[in-house]
Amino acid sequence: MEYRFDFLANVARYVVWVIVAYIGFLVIFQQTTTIVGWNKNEAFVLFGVYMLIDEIWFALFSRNLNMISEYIRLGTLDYILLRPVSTQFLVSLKELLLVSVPNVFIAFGIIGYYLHQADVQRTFLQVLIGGLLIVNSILMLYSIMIIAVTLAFWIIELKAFWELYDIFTEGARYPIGFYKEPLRFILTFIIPLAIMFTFPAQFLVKNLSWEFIILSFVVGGMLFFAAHKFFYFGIKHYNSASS
Amino acid sequence: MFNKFKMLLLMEFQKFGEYRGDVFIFTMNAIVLPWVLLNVWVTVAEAKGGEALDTSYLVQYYYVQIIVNVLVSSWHGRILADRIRTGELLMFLLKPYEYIRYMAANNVSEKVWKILFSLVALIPLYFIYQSYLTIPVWQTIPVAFVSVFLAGMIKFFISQVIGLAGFWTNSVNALRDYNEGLSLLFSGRLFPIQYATKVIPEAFFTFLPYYYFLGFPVNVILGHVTGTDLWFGIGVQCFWVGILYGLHILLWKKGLRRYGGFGQ
Repeated sequence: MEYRFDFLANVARYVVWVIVAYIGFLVIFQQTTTIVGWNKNEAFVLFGVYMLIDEIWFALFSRNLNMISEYIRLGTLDYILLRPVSTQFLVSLKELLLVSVPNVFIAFGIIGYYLHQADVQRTFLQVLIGGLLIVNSILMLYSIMIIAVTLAFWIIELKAFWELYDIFTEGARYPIGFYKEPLRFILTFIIPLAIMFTFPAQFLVKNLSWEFIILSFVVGGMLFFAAHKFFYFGIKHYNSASS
Repeated sequence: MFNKFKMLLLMEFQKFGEYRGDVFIFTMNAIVLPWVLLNVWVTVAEAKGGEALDTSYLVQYYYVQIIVNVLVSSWHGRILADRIRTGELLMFLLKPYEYIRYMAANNVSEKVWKILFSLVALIPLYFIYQSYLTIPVWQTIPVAFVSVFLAGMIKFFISQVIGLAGFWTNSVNALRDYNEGLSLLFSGRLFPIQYATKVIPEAFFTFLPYYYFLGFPVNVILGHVTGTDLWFGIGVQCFWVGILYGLHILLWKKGLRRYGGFGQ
């Protein structure tokens, strides 16, 4: 109850951002009803998927990953390294931001409402696979960010954490087909936003072939594995404050 | 007075040199969204077909927006609010220069770094989109310079006023977010405003300060605002600079009076 105001302010802030994004989409879809095969309702499902992934990532990992460069700079990583639990697990899930929980429900609401508006019927299995694709996307986003913050083992201080996150996700609100080359290439093969955001939404509102579903999980798994290896490679280069 | 400012500029310029990696990321962050939107709007124009949306204009609009956005950017409100909250501001009050001058020097120095770094993206983007881009007519350059300068002042003082709210509240981040949201809608950042008038009443663009720190200078550079509209726009920019500067003076004085009380 002590943080009731912060809690409400956070929800209000989130609602403002949803309204801003909604108006942004309205202006676009007021020009034409369909853009590269996506209508307004379908594009809103993608937007909801983006919000959901963004909020769950924010609640679970944002503050924790942001702290990694501080642990390295101040030498407090020493205490974490001494604990008999996986260091990556400890630094990644040290603290949860429960203030984001209502926003997750709002994002679910957006997805549900616009799936209904788009007149999409889904079986339980399809919803389950859609959910797994979203979990896979959250892990991919986590992996990309842990690779980025691991660089702090060499550059010591990383102040621009949030800006880095924005750079990686700025193109996530629109279907990948909205982009021309060379941006489309970058967002498909370098920062795989197509797999992370467009694929789950496309699976939910349209169809996504099995090859792409399998590809999503394979890329997700590879990225997670690479991030894990890179993080421990970074730790090997860590000179603690006491050394 | 100018020597002191020059010294502050040099000092801040060197300081940002130490954080050039971060400043590079800040700059790229300012460039990504206009580039994303350039792509989105070109695709929308193609989907609509015909001459309804001018692809050339859209590419030029977002390319110039990248430049203007870097030139007018201001970020110090959050820092000011943090300094008020932690008491660090007191340290600055003891220094032999006014805090606002220090922040202005900080702002200009970071911009110099950002302008240099933005070339890393602007040059390749120029070659990608050169068939759509044209050099602005030279007659527009002096007035574009004035308009961009006033736009920078508006944004600087909006940031300052939001930061000064830190004297009264701890929720400055929420204020910043609301302001950022309004700015996305009304400045012409998400869409050129002429495409939004069926969704958003035109008065929001005409009478709020947001359009005048981004969309307006972009359109001035592109030569899309001329005659009476141009001078009306410059007049509105001057009006907002005056209002926001006055508000800054008022809040600074009242805030400091209140702030002094904490330690007594």
